Amino acid sequence: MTTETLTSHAPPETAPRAVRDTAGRRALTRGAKAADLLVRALAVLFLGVPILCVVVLSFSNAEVLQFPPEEWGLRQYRSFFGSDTWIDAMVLSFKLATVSAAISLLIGVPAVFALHRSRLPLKGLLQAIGLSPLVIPGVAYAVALYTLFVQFRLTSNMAALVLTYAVHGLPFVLLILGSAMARLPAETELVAMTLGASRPRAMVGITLRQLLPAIGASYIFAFITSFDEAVLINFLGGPGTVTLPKAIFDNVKTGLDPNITAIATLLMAGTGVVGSLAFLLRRKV
Amino acid sequence: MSSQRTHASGVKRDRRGRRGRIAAALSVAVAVATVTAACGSDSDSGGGSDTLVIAGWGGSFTAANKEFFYDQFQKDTGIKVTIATPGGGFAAKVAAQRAGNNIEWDLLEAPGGDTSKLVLDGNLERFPESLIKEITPLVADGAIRPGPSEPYYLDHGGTVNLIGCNTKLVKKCPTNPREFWDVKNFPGTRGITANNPIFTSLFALAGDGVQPQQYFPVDVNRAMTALKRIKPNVQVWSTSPAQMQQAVVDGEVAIMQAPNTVLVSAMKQVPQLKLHWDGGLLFDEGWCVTKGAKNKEAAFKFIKWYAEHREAQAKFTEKIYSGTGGRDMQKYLSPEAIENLPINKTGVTLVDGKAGAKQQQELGKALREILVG
Amino acid sequence: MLRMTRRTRRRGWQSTFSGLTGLGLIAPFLVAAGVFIVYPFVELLRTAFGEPNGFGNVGDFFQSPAARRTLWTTCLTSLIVTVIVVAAGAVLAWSLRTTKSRLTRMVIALAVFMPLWMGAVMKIYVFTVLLERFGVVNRTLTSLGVIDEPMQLLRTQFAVVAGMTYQMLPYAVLPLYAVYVTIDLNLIQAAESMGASRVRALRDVVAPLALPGLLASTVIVYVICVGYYLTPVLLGGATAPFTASLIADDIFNLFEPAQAAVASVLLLVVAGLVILGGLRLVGRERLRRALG
Repeated sequence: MTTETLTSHAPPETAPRAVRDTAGRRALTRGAKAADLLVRALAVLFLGVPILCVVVLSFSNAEVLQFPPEEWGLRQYRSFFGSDTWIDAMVLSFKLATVSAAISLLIGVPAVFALHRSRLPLKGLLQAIGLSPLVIPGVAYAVALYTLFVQFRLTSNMAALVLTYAVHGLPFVLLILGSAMARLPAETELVAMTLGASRPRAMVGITLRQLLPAIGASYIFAFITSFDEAVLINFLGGPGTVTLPKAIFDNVKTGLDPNITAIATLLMAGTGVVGSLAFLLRRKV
Repeated sequence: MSSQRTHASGVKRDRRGRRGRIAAALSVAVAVATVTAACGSDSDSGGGSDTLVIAGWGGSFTAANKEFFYDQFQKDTGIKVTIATPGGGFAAKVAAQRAGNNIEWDLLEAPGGDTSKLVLDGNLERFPESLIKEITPLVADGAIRPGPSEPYYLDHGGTVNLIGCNTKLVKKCPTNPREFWDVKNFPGTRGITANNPIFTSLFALAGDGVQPQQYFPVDVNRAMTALKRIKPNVQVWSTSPAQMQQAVVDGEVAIMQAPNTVLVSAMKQVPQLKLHWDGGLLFDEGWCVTKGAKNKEAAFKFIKWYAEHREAQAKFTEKIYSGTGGRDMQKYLSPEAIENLPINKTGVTLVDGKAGAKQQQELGKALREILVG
Repeated sequence: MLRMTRRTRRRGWQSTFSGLTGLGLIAPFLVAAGVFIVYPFVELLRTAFGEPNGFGNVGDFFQSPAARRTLWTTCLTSLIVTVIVVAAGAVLAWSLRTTKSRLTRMVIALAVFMPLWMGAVMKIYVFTVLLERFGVVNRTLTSLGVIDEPMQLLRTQFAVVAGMTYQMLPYAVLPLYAVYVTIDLNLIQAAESMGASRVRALRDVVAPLALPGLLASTVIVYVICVGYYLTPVLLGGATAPFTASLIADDIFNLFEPAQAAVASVLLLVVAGLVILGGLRLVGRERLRRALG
């Protein structure tokens, strides 16, 4: 591997102390380098093998999951597209994620403005509350929400689930948009205003416009979070809210249906595209 | 007892928090209403007279029910079937729904060990006399359960937890629970199904020599001591059917106690697997209608439809080896299928679900200490 | 210029909104967070310290050896996962930062990102395929002659650690990469040109700059791990569950919501202590940045 580019850039051994470099120390450096390479290789292997596994298995024609597959074909994809249950779950998850991520933005964007551009008191506390869904132990959050859902009879209520997911996606808006906004000098808005623009116009025309990529990235992150949410739904789900992760979980628990490999491959391809977009948008900020 | 506590925590409130709760309730209502309006009304499930909300396990069991019953029922009657997959915890969830006075599910798809708990809690709808009269000639004797004076559910989805043995891995197979517990004379790694504390405890009692008539009330100490004794020889305590199936197929366990559905399914890959029905425990479960269900008429209509379609029941059974409540099912099933079903088998006990449900909490806690402690 | 500032001030123009406007802007957030975050947690506390025994519920929890052992398993396993994740994440992120080879960069980036997109449940389930008795790992090792007999991998703590590491690794790499980006690579060259070995350069120059970021990642990863539910259920054995499994069991099978709430609160306390520790060590801003 030619990854050790830094060494090639290191100056030739002209420095006086480098000349005195002992063999022992060089061995140490070499050892460290080898260890480093090993860790990297292992990590990439560890991350990559499961992915390859899923993709390979998805092209197996077998009725049971087994590796390596005995017969190749598109059976898993055919039965996925032929199954109402899977398609329904996928469509539901898609709708749910689309709407809830949009609501995350509706709630989050003004909140970020308030948190970064106003003299509101207790901003730190509010920010911390908004971020908490990301850092509180998942199952504790699920139990807490379960109490709410039972109390107010919300378990089959799609709207309640949408709102829950919207709040679940909020941290991404607060983080991504927040850090983007922190990097924007507030004075540009003022400049626009001194040039005659009204405040709303300055806000939309200058600040919001510059924030568009970050808003897009937040949306995508919130979308993926909702689309892929598998813990809360186990506590909060009701009739008509069998999302894709829930359907996969049910499936994995009661039987071994290799269809899920096809779904995972499609997901990787699909979200891969969306995710790269988010990454690019985020970097543009 | 325990269910009362569940109710109480949902209903009984002290006064101090009331104002806060009203504010919270208002906020929830406003928020939910706004989003409902924004999303359109497609979130509405249940309600109308031509829908039926069924709660099930998800996965292969629900898929088979859908394939052989729900889809055809929907076509025949025009009643729209919606499926929820809570995947377990039916008794707790129905109790919570009733406490909140918002019953979401009309029909429960064989809720396993929760069936009797639901009966005990008074959370099921009694079958109307007219329905009983209509279906009695079509269903097996004793299929309307738990008994003639309490017609609360119709036998369906019954499976038997029995002993399986992989003859490729061991020479001598235990043929009953006592031999299963005799690790000296019947060596081999074992697997025990542990997702229902009552069944695991009864199996342990049987292994310790208790006769089926003496199962209840469960001698908790005796059952747990027996489990502790065999624990070092148990490789897999399975908490889901899929887990046990994998362990059997992989040869991770040679001797196992598992549902016949799992074992028959595993036989496709492990033909050397032998089943021993002696000491088998039959689940007491079936189609239940939730007390106060919005669409209980549709639910009863479904039960009648189900009883009338024994060919569909046979196809269902042949697909996943779960039992059904039809009369004379052996006439509809192929001989090969009967071989692996609890039909004409000796030594299989129908577990008294009600007696079990009374001890569910106690046994669940004790089993947890044995497994984890 | 001077005139402009004066005019700005006279018209009350400022670079920030007033508190009242701020309140208006943040109102939807307040409602949503109040209903879906604050209120549920208040209720959780009420359940935990309510019936049947009030604060005695906590005592009831600790009376069960199984519950104690499970809480310990949860904390310890999470710690192991966190150490592995942060260590491997640090190396991967560093490679991503320093490599000039496009191929390496792409391979690492793909390896880090793809698991994020596989679907939460599949990401866990794929490990059953890998780790089962005749799964990919055992087959590879036996055919290579490393082991004679297939090892028991599935339903062990090893499987849980592997599965959790797989899910958390990307979440560590991304923020660490963001930290590294701020480190000037010329510093290493400078140190080396002064005769320091590579190891020493990394230790003395890079480590102090990266340490706060590493600590912050450690805190975040640990806190998320403690609440894991699906992975231990699907990959772990019934004899060493996570507190999360016990919680679900308490609610749905043992009908003891109070015990479930107590266990949840205890997880929150663990998480809270770790976060507080993190705040003291690295400060708020860094911890926030470690979230992504």
